[in-house]
Amino acid sequence: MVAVKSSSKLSRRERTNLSRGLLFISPWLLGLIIFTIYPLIYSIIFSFTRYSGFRRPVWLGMQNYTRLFSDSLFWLSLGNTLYYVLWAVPIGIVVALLLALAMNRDVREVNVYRAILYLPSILPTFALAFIFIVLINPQYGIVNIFFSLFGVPTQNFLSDPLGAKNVIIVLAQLGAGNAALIFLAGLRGIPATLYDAARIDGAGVWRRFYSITLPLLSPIILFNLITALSGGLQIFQQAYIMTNGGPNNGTLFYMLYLYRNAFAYAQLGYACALSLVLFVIGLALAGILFSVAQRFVNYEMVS
Amino acid sequence: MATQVMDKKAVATDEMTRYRRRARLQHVMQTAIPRLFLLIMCLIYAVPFYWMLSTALKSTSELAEFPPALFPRTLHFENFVLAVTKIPFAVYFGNTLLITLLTIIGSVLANLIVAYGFACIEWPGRDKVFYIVLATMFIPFPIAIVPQFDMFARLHWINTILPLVVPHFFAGAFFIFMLRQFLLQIPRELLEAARMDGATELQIMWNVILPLSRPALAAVALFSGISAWNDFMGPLIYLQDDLKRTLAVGLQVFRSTHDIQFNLLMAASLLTVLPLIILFLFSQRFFIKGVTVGSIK
Amino acid sequence: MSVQWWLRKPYAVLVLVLLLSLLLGACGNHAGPKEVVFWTSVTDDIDMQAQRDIATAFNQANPTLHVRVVPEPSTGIGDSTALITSVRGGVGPDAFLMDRFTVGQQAALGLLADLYPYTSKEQNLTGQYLPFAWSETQFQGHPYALPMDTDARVLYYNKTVLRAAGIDPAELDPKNGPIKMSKLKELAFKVNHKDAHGNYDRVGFIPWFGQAFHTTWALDYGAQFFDNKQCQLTPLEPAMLKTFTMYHDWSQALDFQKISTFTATYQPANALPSQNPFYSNHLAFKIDGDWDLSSIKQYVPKLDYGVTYMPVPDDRSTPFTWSGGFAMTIPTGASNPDGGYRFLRFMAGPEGQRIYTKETSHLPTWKALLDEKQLYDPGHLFFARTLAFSVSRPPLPVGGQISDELASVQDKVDFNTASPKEALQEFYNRVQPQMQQYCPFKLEGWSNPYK
Repeated sequence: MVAVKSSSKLSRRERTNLSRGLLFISPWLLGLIIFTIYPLIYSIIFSFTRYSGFRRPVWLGMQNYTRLFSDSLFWLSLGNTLYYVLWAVPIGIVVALLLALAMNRDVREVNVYRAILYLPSILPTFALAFIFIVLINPQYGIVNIFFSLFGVPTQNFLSDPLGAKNVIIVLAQLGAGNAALIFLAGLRGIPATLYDAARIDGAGVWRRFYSITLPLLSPIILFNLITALSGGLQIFQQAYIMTNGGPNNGTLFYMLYLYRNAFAYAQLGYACALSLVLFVIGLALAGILFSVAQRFVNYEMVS
Repeated sequence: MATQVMDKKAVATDEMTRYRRRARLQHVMQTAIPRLFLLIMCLIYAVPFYWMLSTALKSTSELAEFPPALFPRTLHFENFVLAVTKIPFAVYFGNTLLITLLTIIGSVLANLIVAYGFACIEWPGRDKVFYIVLATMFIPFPIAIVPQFDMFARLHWINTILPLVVPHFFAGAFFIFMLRQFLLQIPRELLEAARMDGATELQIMWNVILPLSRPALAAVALFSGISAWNDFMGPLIYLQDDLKRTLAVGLQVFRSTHDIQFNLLMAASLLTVLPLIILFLFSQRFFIKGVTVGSIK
Repeated sequence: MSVQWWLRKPYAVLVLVLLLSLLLGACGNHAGPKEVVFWTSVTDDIDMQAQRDIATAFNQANPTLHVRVVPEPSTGIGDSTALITSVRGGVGPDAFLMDRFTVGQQAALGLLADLYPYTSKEQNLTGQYLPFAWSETQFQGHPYALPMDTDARVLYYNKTVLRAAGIDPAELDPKNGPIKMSKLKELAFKVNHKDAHGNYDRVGFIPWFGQAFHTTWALDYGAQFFDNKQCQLTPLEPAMLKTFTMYHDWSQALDFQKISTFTATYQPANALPSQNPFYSNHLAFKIDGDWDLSSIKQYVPKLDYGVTYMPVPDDRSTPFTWSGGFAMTIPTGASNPDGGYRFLRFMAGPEGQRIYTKETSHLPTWKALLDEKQLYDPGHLFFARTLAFSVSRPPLPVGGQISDELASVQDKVDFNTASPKEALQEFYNRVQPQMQQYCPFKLEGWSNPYK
């Protein structure tokens, strides 16, 4: 829109570039209107109504929004989700980066590692959930055996609202394969000559990581951060399958609560209001992240 | 004299082998830490797969044992046969494959084109429009389900694979963003040089950018393929004819209201993910090779 | 040159693929006028086979109609996404087998057709069904479904564990009538045993394990849930308070965290359904449904166990159980509702239910079939008998939310983060506004006889 308004002042070159650019992004623009803008307008309208998805909607004005602020489960689920995002996103980036760096090493059997590390990203979530049992079984689980070495009594992490959230955060790391693969593709894009030159200059492993890998990988890190944020805010499946929001609503994440309202309670109007609030929160967080990160992101290859 | 030469040679080779041995030792030492790390991570990451496999090979009575046995006492390979014959596996497999292949084609093509528009052409307002792309990543998925279904129903696309495939030909925020980040890393000089030579934008995209972004495109193919293959909600609501269903939906046969035939479910699930493992191994080639951007500069 | 490029490379492929998929899609629509499309949300292979057999029998008996069975797995309890979307899109089925408990809610949404125009023409159809099952299909006094199968909950006791704790299992014989809550507590605490680390390795009874949960106890204590006159939920009625006071007392006496550790050890989250402390001789009593019989037969055929009536409050001696099950409905806007009803009547009538009972060992809701002893395993007969004492959950339009919110109350009381009264008040504050939109509403045909 900004572009169109000022197009009269554009030079000829800019104008041809504009039309070329718009031509290239036209599939997305079309998809945006059909698959995103239309549903979005639809849900904005319905967020002001009581609507079951079936009979005629009843106009409520701002009632859904005022209800939201006095809804204890809205706040609880928002808190749970933010807690999850705050821990799972940074941990996820570090784990994925470590995996990618390790997979990028010149080790003969690296193909095998890479395949195994990616395996959980292919498997259905209910299979991943099994690692729960192996790791945190109060009697046979590795975690409890480890803790009991230090005299900590065995405990059932899933019976504690905070513990259950932490378990889901740890479990989410099994899905690090996707982000790691993107990092790996980024690492492969860094010219080896840069490292060779640095090595000749006597730079150590850490120095090379800080002055070559990290800056050149920064666009990819930003990408993984933003997608992890968007995924983290919409965390749903793990809790849906494993804990169904419990114990004591400790893993009732925002999307789970939204989903219940939309499809189990048939309160589509309220669910739309919940969606839009999550959308706004997501945009705000992404905006902060983007503007902070943009300063550190380096798009040009430097030699 | 002769012995002297021999001695010198012997010394030289001795030194060579010693040097080589030292080098090899150094390499082993340097890779020891990453190796150990990878080994431990692999042990953890392999647990779910191992559990699926061992469960798939257990007999029904063995499933009830407590604590659960790590290895099945006898290997019940017939579970795989049973699993395949209980559902029209070949039909579901074909349906899933068609949807997945079309999704991959759509995703790779559309996202490459759009990402090129966002990364390789400088047009006024580009970055502002790009923020809209990012913004769409934060729209929660449930709000789209009902309006999209209404739309596809009006188009009479229910019971066809179109609602599952066509949207991918319009690109998506995740992949646009991902490819853009990669394309922005490609030196601008390459683009400028090609433009000087009179190449059209499409030619540049196809001949210059495409070969350089193969790892990223492989990732697009892989991720879109996996999500299409495992998608449950989409096929469930859009494909209502039993024989048009996909594997992910078909697996529900092993679940009843109160019980699950876990060994058969696991056997069928393993067969279901097998093509994905193959897809991964295939795309892995692109990740290993990497790109040789540096050499051009 | 440029034009050729456009055509030759990516877009050509795109257009081609689009055309191809359009073609593929076009071949998909050939619904005949006499077809009855039947969706089922019960999709495991035994039940699918039984439903296909019923459809075949129906097709033979009714040459003018043809039933097509379509499995429509549910994405979750009470999740009717597929039904809502397809009814809206005008592509819904003519008959749908769904969880009977959700009929009230779906009818309130307008997703189901009122069956009164059909049932009113029949001779005493109501009387043919078990009363609790029939009452669950009612919404505002009209039937919106025909009951299909049902189930029953009983008290299972593990004789091995009881003997190890010095209790004679003969005490529990159903001949002695249902066990009182105080007696059960006394026996259960005799069984409890802890290992050297202070963790339970043997437990008597857990009132929140298996089919023992908020609604089970609320019905057992005689909860009415709803006041027709005021159109109000009744969270603070004595039965509700008794239920959650019971939870409070047991969770305090047993130590909720210790029991969590016990269940997580012997039946971890996401464990196989076959891994169960009752099966592995670590738990003496559990409340479970008749379907557990087939699981025991399948996984632990040698288990030494018995079944008796559900425990009852101390001031009552009538046996009690509650039942769920499925029901046949016609979604709104079905293209062949008349054909749909004929199939409903067949499948939920004696012909269909007889096939279903025989093949799936579910219990029927068609009363006369309960007398056909050859349909049941000997072990199943006791369950069939308990159906005379059974009650269903109240068919309220906000049933799903009531269930989730009661689970919250139960958690809060178990974790001792709120008193039963506080938690129930919060339950009311959350659910009543949702109920309000259906007022005036009358829960007709349903009442809990155990008040």
